[in-house]
Amino acid sequence: MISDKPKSYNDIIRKKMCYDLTNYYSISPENLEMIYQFLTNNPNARISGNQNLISLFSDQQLVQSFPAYKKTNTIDGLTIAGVSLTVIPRRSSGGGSSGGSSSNNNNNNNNNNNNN
Amino acid sequence: MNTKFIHLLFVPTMACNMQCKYCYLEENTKDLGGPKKPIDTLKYAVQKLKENNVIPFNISLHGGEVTTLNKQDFYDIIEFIDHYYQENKTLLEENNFKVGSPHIKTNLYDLEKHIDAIKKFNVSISGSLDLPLSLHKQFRVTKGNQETLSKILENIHLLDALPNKRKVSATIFKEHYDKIEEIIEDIRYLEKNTTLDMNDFNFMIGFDYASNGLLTPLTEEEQVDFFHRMHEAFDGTSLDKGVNGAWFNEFGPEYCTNCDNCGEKFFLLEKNGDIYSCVRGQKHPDFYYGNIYQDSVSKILETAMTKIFTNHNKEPFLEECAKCPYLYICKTGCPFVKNLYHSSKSYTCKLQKELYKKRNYELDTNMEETTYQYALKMHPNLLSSFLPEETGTSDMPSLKEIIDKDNKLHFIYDSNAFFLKVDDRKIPLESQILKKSYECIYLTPHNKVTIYVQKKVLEESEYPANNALYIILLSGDLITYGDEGRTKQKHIMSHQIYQSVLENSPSDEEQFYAYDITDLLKAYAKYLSKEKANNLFFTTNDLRDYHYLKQKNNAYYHIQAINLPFQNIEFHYVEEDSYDF
Repeated sequence: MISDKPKSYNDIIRKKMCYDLTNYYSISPENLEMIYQFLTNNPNARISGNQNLISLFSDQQLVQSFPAYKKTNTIDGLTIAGVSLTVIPRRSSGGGSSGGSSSNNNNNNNNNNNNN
Repeated sequence: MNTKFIHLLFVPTMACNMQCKYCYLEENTKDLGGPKKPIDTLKYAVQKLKENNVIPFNISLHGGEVTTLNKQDFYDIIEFIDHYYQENKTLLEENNFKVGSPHIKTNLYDLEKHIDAIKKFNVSISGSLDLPLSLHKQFRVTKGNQETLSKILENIHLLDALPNKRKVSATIFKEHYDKIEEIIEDIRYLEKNTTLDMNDFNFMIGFDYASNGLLTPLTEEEQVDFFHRMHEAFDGTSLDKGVNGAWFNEFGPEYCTNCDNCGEKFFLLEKNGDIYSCVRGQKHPDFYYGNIYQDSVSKILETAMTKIFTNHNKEPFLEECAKCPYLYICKTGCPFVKNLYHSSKSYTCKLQKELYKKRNYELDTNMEETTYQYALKMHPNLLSSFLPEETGTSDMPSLKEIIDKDNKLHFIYDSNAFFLKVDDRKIPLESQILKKSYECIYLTPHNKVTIYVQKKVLEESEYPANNALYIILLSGDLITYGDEGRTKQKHIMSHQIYQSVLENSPSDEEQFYAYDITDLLKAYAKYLSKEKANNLFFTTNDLRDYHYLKQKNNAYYHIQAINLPFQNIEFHYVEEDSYDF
């Protein structure tokens, strides 16, 4: 758990992003707190995750990294920067991706009678 | 739990019986004593590793100088390694590791002291020399400044009647390279006058590190010239196998630098239990992984992986390396030397390329994928820059190929057709099914959210006045509906804004209509998912109709565009009372 009570929308967003990160990675409470503080204190912070590490970058410089194991096999990695979280879906070797949060929104409602 | 196999270099003593004038260990060539006998540390480490399912596939001895050990300590260690290989032979061979005999790296100066153990356990010997031998005489001296070459050459003869593998290596700096003809002569001399396997000899290329200012690293051009001169001298001779093999194997894929992250495989253990990356990283805090007596194996392994990752990230990953067809072998080189030189690439880059060419290593035909996989492991912050293009299968045109053949379809997927502005931040919108990564943004009721649509996207319609910006809002929550019984994102809202409205909305982008959707989002906020990312799509009436028409007419398109193809953004809508953190 992140101990700080959010005082602003930015705090809420940062906190939400940290908790969203735990949907993809197993992260200890101490490390989660560290990520939250890092995002709070570094305006150009970037958090990157790959198969087994979470890395904290500031202005493209690696500041710290620690092992963290993925909880899902549907992604290769992800990045948090600013107010966005970007997921890289898993690529099988030789190309092709699968997964991604929006791979289930087909809309077969092709009655085209709404051109009034 | 999978068994992890590692290469373990054991340094049973830091003491050395020589004082080479350029020694990288400098004042560290003394045994610091301590309560532990070296055999106790090795046994403890191997047992502790084994309990954690970590098995050394190779245990080699390095110094200091291992022959400075007393006879009993040396014997005990060699015997232990010999028994270890016997006990683990089946396991190692089943996992495709070649099981050899105990191996030592030595300066060959005190070999006779341990010759009985060397004979008994068929110890494989790797000696260090300076070539040309004239420089050996000059640089490699005893602590009393006496030359060592005569005794070393005599000691090599102690091995004459033994079946043991015996080889030597030499490190090349500018001072050696300047005497290249002498080097060539001395290699021939050693082949003719000793029983050293000179086809198994190997060169190392020196780098600028703690040589007491005595040695000068070769330039990359000199390295390449050295490589060619050796080939000119030895190709087609009895040493052809060596010059085309072991001599330069250090720069091929057989060595440690062929790992993405060498911290997952290579470890150096000192007598006191300290663990480092290798001889290069020994005593350097950035390459210190922990102590086998004090730290858990999992902690040591994690530290190793993390530190090597960190070391590779001290310098940026170069475009030149990303586009190099040999990245799959080189992996950008040794992190220790890269950091020493503040360089992003291997200090022997040109030499490696020459070697790969000469040895017919294939140019990578799947370079994009290789670079992506390398970036994924070692530079994840750059991952989105190296996402490979999708390709179609042989029996079906790719979606991109279908789009390229259809001008109207092109607009449905055009990444320049729409963009979003959140306050002052411009967010490009790509087709959901063409994008290679999925960005989710975090919005609040305080953000001003404006959609921009390129005017020509609306105007290139048969009846522009009847065309509209078409906005679809889906919840991150799922619902099962329709004849298919398929679970999909829940539809919250579709909203159409006709051209006549857009024309009267202010826009700060000349080629675009702009429309403020802040209030639209607020109006539906209570229907949005709090936990999962919601989804906002943009298209036009015309393009939406055309998408479904194309689905009807083209099965290949239908299959690949079964999910909504329109430009979209995923988002969380964060309100003050949304979350009970």
